Amino acid sequence: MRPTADESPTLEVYHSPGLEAALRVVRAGGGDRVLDLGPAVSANLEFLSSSARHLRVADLLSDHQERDEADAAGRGLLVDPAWGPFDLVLAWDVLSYLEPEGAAEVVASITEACSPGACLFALVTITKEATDRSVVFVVRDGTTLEYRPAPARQRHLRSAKPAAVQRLLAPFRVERSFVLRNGFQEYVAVLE
Amino acid sequence: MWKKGELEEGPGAVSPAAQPSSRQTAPTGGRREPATIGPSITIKGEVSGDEDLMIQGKVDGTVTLHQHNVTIGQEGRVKADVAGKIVVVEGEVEGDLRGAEQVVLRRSARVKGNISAPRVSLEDGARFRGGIDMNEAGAKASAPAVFPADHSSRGREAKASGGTVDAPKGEASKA
Repeated sequence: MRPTADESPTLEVYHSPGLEAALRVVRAGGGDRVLDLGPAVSANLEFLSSSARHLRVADLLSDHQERDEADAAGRGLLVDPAWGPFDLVLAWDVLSYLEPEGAAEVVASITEACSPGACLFALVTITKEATDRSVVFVVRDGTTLEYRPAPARQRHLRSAKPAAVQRLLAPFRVERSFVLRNGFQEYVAVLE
Repeated sequence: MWKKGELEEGPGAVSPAAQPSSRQTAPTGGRREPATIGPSITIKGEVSGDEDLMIQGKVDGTVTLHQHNVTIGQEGRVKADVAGKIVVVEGEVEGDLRGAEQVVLRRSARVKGNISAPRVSLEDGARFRGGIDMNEAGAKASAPAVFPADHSSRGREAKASGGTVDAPKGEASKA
């Protein structure tokens, strides 16, 4: 289970049907341009660069901490369309740390940086209790993820219901979603 | 795809050739320390040369040593595009990194810019924001397929164990 605020964070490994599905979509489309909204992680870099011809690490939440123009809600955090176009966007749980308006701005900027058919993979917490302990997701292989505590990144993680997530991600259309026992729900969405 | 040998070395592993070049072989066959830009030195302009370079100072401009290794040490603060055979970053760089063989970001590295190299190694803890492009030769050698097929047996096992619930077409099932 994902640690609550009172528990010591531990490394957890789980099968990720969402990542598996997202990679399947990208593979079918022959895509090889990847945008990673999370922090740079060596294992992720190794996995993604094995197949992606172009990989961009945006590390939006670090941007959030450093940039004055990005307010507490996450407004002003943008993906530069010039970085794209991308075939796969790995949002991880980044959107869950932002207020809805900030998250909507991020999704809008992602949309501009993607071509139709691009795939978005996102995780959202579904536990009712909020936690201030954030995690980093690490790719073990195309079907397995682990998450590790990110002690330097204490942020408030917000839960969201599927309907709200689907509205947030539009114009990406949610193709599949997966409720996981570890307290996350994975979304695989495709840009129409 | 990363070559098999690299994967076996683990994340952040660096081949001996990528270690900070304090014991490079000089053309004459002897050992030779890299040229060093010390912590108190600031250079604005173009840096080029024909030997390995360690930067512990500040450089604004460009650093171009195509045939040699460049190391930006922990005290190095570089606002420049850096090109070398192997580029190792331990300090801060704002600019593009181009490695003919490899780019290595150490744990203490802070990099904002783009990386272009056949091989890129990133130690956990390194901060990086930017794009990564594998050059043509490296990409072809290492990535014959786009996102190679996954391990379907793994997926079946997980589903059979009830670890996940698949809810097609955007409707999440109740866990």
